[in-house]
Amino acid sequence: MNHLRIDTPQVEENVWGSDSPNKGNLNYSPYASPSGRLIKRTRYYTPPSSPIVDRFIPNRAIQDTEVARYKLFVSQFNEKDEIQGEEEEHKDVPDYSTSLYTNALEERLFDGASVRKSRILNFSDFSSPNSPKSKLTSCSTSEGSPRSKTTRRSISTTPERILDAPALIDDFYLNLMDWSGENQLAVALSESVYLFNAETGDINKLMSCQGSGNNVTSVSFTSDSNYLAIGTSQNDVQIWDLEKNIKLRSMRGHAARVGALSWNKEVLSSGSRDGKIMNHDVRISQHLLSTLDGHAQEVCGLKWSPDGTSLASGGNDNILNIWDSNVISGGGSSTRYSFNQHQAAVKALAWCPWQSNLLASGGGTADRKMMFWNTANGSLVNSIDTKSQVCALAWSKHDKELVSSHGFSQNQLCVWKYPTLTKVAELTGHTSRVLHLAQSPDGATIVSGAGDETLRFWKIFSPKPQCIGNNSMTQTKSVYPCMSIR
Amino acid sequence: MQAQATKSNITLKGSTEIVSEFFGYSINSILYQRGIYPPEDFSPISKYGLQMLVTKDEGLKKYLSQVLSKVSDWLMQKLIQKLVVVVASVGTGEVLERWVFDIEVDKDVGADSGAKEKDVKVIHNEIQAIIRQITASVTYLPLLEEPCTFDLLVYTSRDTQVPVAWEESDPKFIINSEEVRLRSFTTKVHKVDTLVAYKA
Repeated sequence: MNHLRIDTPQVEENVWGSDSPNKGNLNYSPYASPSGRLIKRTRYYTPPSSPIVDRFIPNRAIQDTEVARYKLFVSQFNEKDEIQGEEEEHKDVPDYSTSLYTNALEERLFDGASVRKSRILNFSDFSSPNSPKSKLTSCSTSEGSPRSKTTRRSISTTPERILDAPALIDDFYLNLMDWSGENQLAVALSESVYLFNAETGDINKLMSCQGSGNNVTSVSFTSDSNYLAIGTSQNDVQIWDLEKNIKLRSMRGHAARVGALSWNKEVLSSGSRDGKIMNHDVRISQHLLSTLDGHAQEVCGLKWSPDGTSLASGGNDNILNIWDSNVISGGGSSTRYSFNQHQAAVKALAWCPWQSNLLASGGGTADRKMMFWNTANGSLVNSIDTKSQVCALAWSKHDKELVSSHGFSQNQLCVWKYPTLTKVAELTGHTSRVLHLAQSPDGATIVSGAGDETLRFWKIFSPKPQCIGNNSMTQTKSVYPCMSIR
Repeated sequence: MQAQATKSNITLKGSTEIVSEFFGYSINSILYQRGIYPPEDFSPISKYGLQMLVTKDEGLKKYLSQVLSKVSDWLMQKLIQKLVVVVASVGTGEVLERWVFDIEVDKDVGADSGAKEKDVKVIHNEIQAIIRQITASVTYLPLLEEPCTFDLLVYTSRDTQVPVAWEESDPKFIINSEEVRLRSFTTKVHKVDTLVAYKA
């Protein structure tokens, strides 16, 4: 082999001798000759990328890196200036292969979520039709999403009734109202909790806190409506039996007032001003299962998702955290997602009842935004500036709508279509910020509690279709006696 | 189509019709070939010089026509980037196959300007090749052993308004997927690349 070519190493056929064991696999290092002989060569060229070598060494000598660099970066900018004003397509598509590559990289790296340039849409009105052997269970619309009705519905802009709620504490960080499946509305007025039976109109005082300056700071019903959890300003979490009207137990552990409560079956999560969220199993004496440390300041929003797989917590540190349900048992104490997009306290939280993994959150005065999250992949699906602090949110159970309550300057409730986020109605009447919202069991009525010490009942959403005419759901009755809650 | 080759002008509207028609037939083919719906739900039809099977199921027909009419709108407005047919297991919800139709549109072509010349027959031949490849895909795609369902995802540009009854979705990627690129076709207005990704 005597032909010489540039880039071809000078290898003499018989360098190793004909009995060389390395013959099929030439090794070009002069020091690695099996015989130990040092082979001297005058020129040493880059080997060709032939199948017998296992690596490719580029020949840098023939490249001018300076020029290449210039061509890559500098000329690109110049070109851009030149091209501007010519055709748009050159600007947008600098190089198809690079854009293809970046797209692929983005999709792989970020799961196509955060930097995605496109929207991914899914026709959901009629999610994949029933094939005889299949029903779509996996997709985002789990159970028959509500059909969008074309029938127009007028939303009354006046409250159906107004209740006085004297001494309702005007504090943004508390959660003082909850409506149970048994149609009882629990309202905390300073140191006491009152139960208002929406069916009969009866009002009962459930409890009063002991000690001066001890106020109720949060209330939450269990899903079966038999028990009420109460958080107090003296760091206590209490469980009350609503049948016997007795306190069952008191669970201590927090170092500050307990402003947010949420149930997940028999586990009660409590959020406190000390920034911690505690998970209590209320059935066992050693109730504390785990403590979640994800907020630097007071936890003011806390909601378990309807399927019990995710916990959303919002704090005064402007952080919205999403936790997996395995944090209950202490398995993995870090957040699934931590969102810092809000610029004020995140109190308003609501899980969408008809689309799993969709969470709505609202920010306080400095933020004023409603944001919508896909908690499965951590993407911000939608966001809108409401022009006013968002104090509370509630989804319609059946329509693709939600209601938000606001503070300065209108103190209004807004009804929004989702996902278009067009404002359907604005309900005014409160004279102070509307801090709390609760939804009736049939989903039709929303009660709002405000700093002006009134509760107003609004008939906003359409009731569940099969519940119309059902006597147990008396929200359709509109003959209410005028009353004051205390 | 007449016997002689017709050199026809293809407008954005015409191209949109061709592309959305292609989507309809290819989705039907995927549903049939992959056994998402039982074979007796399909009836034969002649199209693109092939015997094809399209669904008889009224619900499915309605669903497809609803989606495709919106897809046509987006094609006309040049907002659509991709159409993805996701095949997922009913039981576990795991995504098993992802048929991706990448759509590129010629930016020069307006609603009534910039028509391109291409023989419709040539386009149909290109489409025929893709449909044949979909039919042939059963030979290399893993058998779908569990009951499966499908979903359609549409990638549109970021500034698209989400229409009523549509919602945003996650991309439903497959972890550790193998990909096979199929042929593509172009009307000179739209170019459609087809790719199937499946769980390895």
